[in-house]
Amino acid sequence: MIRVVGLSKRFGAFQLRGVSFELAPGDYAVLLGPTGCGKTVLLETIVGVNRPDAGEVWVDGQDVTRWPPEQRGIGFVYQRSMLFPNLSVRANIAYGLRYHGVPRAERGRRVERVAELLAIGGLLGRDIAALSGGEMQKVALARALAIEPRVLLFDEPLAALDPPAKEALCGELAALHRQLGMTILHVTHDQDEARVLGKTIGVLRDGRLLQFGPKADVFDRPNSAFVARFVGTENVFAGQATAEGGLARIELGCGSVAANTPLTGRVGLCVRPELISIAPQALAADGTNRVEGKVEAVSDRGALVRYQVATARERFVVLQAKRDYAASALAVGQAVALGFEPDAVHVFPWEGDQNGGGVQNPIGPMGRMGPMGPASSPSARRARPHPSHLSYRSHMSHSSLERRCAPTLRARR
Amino acid sequence: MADRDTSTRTRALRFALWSVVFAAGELLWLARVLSPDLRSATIYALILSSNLFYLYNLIYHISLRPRWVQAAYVGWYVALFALFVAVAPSDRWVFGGTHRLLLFGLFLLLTSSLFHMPTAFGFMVVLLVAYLVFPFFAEATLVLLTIFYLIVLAEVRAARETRSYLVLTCFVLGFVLLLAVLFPLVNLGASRSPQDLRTALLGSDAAAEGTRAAMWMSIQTATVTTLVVLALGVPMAYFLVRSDFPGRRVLDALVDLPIILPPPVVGIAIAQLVGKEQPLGAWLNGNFGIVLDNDWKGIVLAQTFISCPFLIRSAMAAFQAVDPRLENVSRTLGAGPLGTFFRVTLPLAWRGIFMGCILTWGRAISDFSAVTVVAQHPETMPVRIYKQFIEAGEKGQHTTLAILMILLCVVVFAVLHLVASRTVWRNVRTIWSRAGDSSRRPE
Repeated sequence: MIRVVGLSKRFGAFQLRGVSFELAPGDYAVLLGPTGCGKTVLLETIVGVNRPDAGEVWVDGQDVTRWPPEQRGIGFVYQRSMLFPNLSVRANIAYGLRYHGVPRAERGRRVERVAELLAIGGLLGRDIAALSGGEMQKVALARALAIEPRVLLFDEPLAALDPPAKEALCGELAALHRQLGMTILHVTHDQDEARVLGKTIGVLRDGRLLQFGPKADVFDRPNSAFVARFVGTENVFAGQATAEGGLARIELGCGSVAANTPLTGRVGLCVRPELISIAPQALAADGTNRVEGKVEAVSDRGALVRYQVATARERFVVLQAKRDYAASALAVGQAVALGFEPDAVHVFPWEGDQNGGGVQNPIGPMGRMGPMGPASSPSARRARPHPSHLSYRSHMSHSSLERRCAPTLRARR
Repeated sequence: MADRDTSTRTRALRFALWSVVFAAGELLWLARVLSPDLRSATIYALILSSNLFYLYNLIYHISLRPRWVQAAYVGWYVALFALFVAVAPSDRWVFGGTHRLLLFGLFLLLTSSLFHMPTAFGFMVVLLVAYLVFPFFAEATLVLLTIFYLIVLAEVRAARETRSYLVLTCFVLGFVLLLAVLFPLVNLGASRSPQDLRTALLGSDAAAEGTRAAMWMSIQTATVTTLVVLALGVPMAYFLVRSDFPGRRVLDALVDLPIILPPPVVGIAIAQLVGKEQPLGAWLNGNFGIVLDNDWKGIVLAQTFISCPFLIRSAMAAFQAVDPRLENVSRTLGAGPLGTFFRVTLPLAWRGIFMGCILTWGRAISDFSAVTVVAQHPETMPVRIYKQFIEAGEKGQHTTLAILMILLCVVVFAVLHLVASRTVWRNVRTIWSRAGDSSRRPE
């Protein structure tokens, strides 16, 4: 349906370096990446308003790399809806119809139909200035849908919305995709959006596509520390792996853990926080792997409780259901044991520390460094000019969107 | 009830007593001061009745107000008396010879009825100041003071709400600058009567005919110039905004060149190029019969040179305000580059471009120096005004023509601005409602 081959583009400060991927018809792909990783440039290049320095764009088996955007039939929705302020809502939605051979008499009906689909029939007569952010995005979506595009591209369509509008539109996008079965490429920096909407996930960094594949692959089996971190796996460590029986034994600062992997040597590993069980040290935590440490922080995340546990060298993050928390009532400073199965440990080849995206750095002698390791200790944070990829998690609640979109998620399952 | 009866009686007594004092004082004083031919019963009755009305207002209404208001009321009487009766050196000095005692009476009546309406009272003071303090520029002062007063009124109200007088102070300072611009113009405008203007423009003599021709020539050339600049300047502006080639900054700076150069230099440069004796001018004349110097086409050329930066700059600002992403979206929806320009970019930028047209038109019609070098004839208005000023001297019509020119420009300017602005009417309403609000009696 849409295929991108070795796309490279230099555009001011942004750069694409050989991005390649392919979307099957009816796929919903979400490309994740921090601000400034080239997401918008990628979309604008696919849509044709930028000409790539190298590489090809294929749509429906046709090489459209040299086609002007108006011939590609790709719908595009920007973060800030970019509605034409000189036109009414109705005229905005009808904008593209005349260029797609829709007879004048037919256009009104087509607009009504799209508006009905998105439940914005009541907005048609309104002025653009009188719309809320969510309504504007819906109108922009309707405008793109009206021309019945072959592919839809979304450039952070939810990023500028307030949480309730975001939740609502998020659910509607999922429903719409289910209903229409369109091929959609959606870029965002919000992993929760990707989790709710995406069937296929890609992670972009500095203009490179680090990993691209089915959602389960990317979320559960990230191929690098950066991807692991970006999709919300906070326990990312580096260690030395040796084969031992059918499993591998990986030496970490806090002891060794067993993992189910053929890799040996210097490897990276990650454990999703929700797969770790936690118990007072006196009791045995569930799981073959056992790590001991001390609770550093406890924070309430709604349905979950998030623990930060300092072990001898690493810092673990554990998510526990609130009911279990009420039963165990672990407090800050308490000595605890963490347990997890070898299958919960995902191992990937280690490529060295990648500019903050790498290993969960060892805790220093004072044991007071932040979750980002040395770079985020107070003095270092002041000294460094705030690399953008460090900010993406620091203020984001782990499961806020997941929680908000819970009904949608349930419906999808 | 008893209290009220008592106070009513007290007031009536007081009023009666003071009435007698006023009447006696007037008889004695006026009889001594007034020239014999003015000593008539009518005058006496008018003055006395207005005095009594003022007094009645004081005792029955103003006395219920705070003490400082009462003091102001009495003080105002003293001031009026001083202005009209005691100090004014001669009848001719005030209001062009109108009888000052009658005016004194009139203002007493006005004051006593307007005193509880600060806004209206302010207008009266503006009128008085304009005619008494600057009698030689009375009309100009009246117009400008009224504008000043209206804005200050609105601003004081706003300042009371925000508790910051910074904006008001800035306005007062800015108004000084505005005065430097407006005072000469308004004063000039007030120096000829509408009849003079009518004769100069619509009369049947040769001079009026020449004026009409010059007027028409000015309007024509400025309009053609604006159209030419519109057709060529808008593409230039769009190019400068959307392109990113290395020499763009240089080109960008070059656009301002005509503003920096002295207009006569421009005129000389053009005459040097297309004059009849110059190679290009001779070639154009010989092959196509096109004459540029001393012709309207030459005038248009000079005006185009002088006025194009205004449109280009305005259009650039307007295009800059159009998000390129809007154009991108339009393209993805199927519109080609040209369709996008006419359906998205231009509709969003037209207001700015139109403003640029107004400026360009204004600059073109007002240019004298460049045009006069290229074409002494046919005359445009600025050239005609200058010739009248130089050649005819005192008897020249230059003042009248200048006023005509001001009127033409102001009217066109105002009309075009109204066309371009949706907010004008709302603003006018706001100013008036603000001024109206403050005229309510403070509680």
